[in-house]
Amino acid sequence: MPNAGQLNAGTKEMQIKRSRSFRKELSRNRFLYGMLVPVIAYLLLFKYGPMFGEIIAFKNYRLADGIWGSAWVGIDNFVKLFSSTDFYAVLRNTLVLNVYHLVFAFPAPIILALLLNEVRVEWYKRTLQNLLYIPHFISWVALGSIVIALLSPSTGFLNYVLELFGLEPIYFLADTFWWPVSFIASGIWKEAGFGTILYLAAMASIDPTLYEAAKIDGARKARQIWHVTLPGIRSTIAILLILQVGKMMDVGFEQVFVLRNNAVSSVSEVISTYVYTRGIVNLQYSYTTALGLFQSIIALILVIAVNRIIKAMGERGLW
Amino acid sequence: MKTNRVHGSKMVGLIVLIIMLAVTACSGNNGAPANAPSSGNQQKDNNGNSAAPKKVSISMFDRGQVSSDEGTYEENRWVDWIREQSGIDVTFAPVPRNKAQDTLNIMIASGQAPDLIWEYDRNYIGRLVSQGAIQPVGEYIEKYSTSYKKYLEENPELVPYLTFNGEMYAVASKRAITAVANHAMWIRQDWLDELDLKAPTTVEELVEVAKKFKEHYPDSTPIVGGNKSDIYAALNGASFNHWYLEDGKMKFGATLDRYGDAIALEKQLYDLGLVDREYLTDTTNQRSNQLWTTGKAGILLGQWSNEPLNRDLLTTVPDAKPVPLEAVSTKNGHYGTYQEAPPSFFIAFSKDMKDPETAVKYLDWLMDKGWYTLVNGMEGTHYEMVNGVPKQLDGAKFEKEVRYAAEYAVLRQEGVKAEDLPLKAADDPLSQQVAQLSAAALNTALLHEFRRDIPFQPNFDEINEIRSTFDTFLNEIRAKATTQGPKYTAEWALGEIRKEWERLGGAKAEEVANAWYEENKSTFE
Repeated sequence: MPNAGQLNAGTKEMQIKRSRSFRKELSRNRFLYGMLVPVIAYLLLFKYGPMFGEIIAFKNYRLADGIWGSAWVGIDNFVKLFSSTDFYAVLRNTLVLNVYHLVFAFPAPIILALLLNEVRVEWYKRTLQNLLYIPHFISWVALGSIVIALLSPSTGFLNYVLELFGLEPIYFLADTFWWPVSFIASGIWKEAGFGTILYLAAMASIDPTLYEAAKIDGARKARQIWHVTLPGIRSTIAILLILQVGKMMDVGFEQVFVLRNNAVSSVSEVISTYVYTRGIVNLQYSYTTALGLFQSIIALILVIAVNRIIKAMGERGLW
Repeated sequence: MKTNRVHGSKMVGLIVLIIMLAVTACSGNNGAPANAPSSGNQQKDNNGNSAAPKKVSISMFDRGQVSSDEGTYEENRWVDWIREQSGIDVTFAPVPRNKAQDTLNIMIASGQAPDLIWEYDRNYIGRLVSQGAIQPVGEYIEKYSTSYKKYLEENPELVPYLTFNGEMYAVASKRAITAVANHAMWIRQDWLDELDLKAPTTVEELVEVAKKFKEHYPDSTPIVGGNKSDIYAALNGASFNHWYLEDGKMKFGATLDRYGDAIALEKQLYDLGLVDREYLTDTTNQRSNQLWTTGKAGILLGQWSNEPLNRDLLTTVPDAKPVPLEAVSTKNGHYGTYQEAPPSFFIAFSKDMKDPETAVKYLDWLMDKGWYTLVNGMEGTHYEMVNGVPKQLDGAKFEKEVRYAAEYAVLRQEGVKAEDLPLKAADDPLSQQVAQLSAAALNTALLHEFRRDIPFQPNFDEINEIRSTFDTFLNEIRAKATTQGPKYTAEWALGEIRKEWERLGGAKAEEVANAWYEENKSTFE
């Protein structure tokens, strides 16, 4: 017994020491910690606070009863979700679009950054970069109508070119095969340019002597890229890949919403649009919150898994 | 060291200030509706009486019609006028028209709903009832109202529309015939004359005329318009989202043979190249409007109230003669295009409403006299009385200063007739010509009754549940059958639609609808 008391006293002393040193640390770096306060407040207020609302996934939420007042229904919403055919269709569409994205859209900024990195004429490079960034700053609502006009079978530029080669015009946005292609391509158009920023920054930090050494060893441009540039940005690619996999269960709402139409709903209904129509428009809040919760959990599992894999491959992961 | 500390506390102060600003900015965003619940603690004047005006808030459709020099939907000349005339401090909470229901839902869920919430869609009010977001109004009307109570006694046919689960949950006034008629068809008389054709009276003739148009004007698109699919269905007497009585049993429109005929018509016109091949992606009707207003289309399947489009057409192609086209008959009968049911705006009372008495007083004021000025503008400035009809003095001025105000008048006693439209319009020849056309179109649209077997649609969770999946499926199947060539026929589409309906539990929905019909049919007469 006295032993335990001593132990307690010991830990208490340590706790006091620790809190004292923390206080010291706090007063020493008070500006830095002060600057952290708004960010923590933001996270608590807008990211952690709303999580409380997730409990309506286990309730039958009615507007009148509110979050607390609504009746508990256990996992009924999940049972309903997993037994509905809609669920599998939107899950499939979401995953398919994201796999396409990972295969085609994810490497696009890397390739673009590699190309930009080799441009030696400074003013040309800057102009090119600026032109590539522009689409990122235009909202999907505006870009969507440009895409629709560009892909129009009768007046669109793309079909005009096809016709020059004697090909039949294609109604890209009303065809279940071409719609995902158009979707990914328009996404690349909007975001690839802006995505190069991080890679270019990473490339700028590569030690120039490495290139010189490679040159002396007789490496040409392609070899230099393969053996110096790419390994130099490996860790950046790894981090962005983890982040991308975290979005695996998510397709941006706006882009789908502007580009979809009746003819392609079988491939264009994704989790975000489904949550919108079922939850927000049709007031089935609990049902769609259950879907959202499911989506988040899968995304979390994916992020953890990919982080493990990347660490096993010898890269630094997210944590 | 000391200066450093002073500096530090200033820094902390600055950060605190930034956070506070951020937080207040967020709550400031809530805008008008957030003010409403705070009406309880309004200041009292020096005498201690609560002489401050009574407050009420009401939703509003933002159609983007208020020009910037007029102000906003929240603050403009009419809002000032309403407050001054009614003596009630009314605040308006605009919601974007094409996202009205979801925006309202979010406002309600986050406790920012205005006191009065309105929609044209009775089903939406029904959903709010089952969500418990609104409260019964019968007692308030009984206790506080004079004008509306009287109006309701004179127009008892409104009562069933306002009743949900046996209680009155909304107030509404009757639509004028200008608001009852909705969809309509237009045709270019000059094209008919040029080809020596008569206006089509059957759907077969309609197709023939369109074909002739295409032959004679190869660059044209004979048939355009955003209401195409709805009109094909209405002509066949089977709107997809309406219930019909087939041999005394309730059946859902989309599952009927007649609806299959509508799909067949849509497909036929598409296959013959008589419609814009891209109308699926033309969700904003931009292409369609452009084709009509530049004189490149022969038949418009749109609305009777087509003034802006006709005005543009007559300006770009002065020789054009757009005329209303009477609904054509099909093998299923001779039905009109879509018309609205009698009640206009359904106005519901939020469950959190603080002051129902003021709300009822405001509605009474609108019903009595407020609506007239909001619809017609100021006498002497915007209109003058000619033969008992308010006549616009200046069309352009009216469009800019008064047009948007009409939707503030959610209760009206409007008795406008088709003949009044030219009398109300401004004097310039174009305004007169367009108004004459509208008057003719209104009469034409009302010649044939839109098929409606029951006055309003049953509203049950079983049905809503099915429809949230079914509607998407239906639209896709219809698009597929129309555009994907001879492999996919209308019969195939109807077969798929019925299969999906069965799979989703359509039989159960029909049972529920039938039970509802049997229970309520006595009130439908």
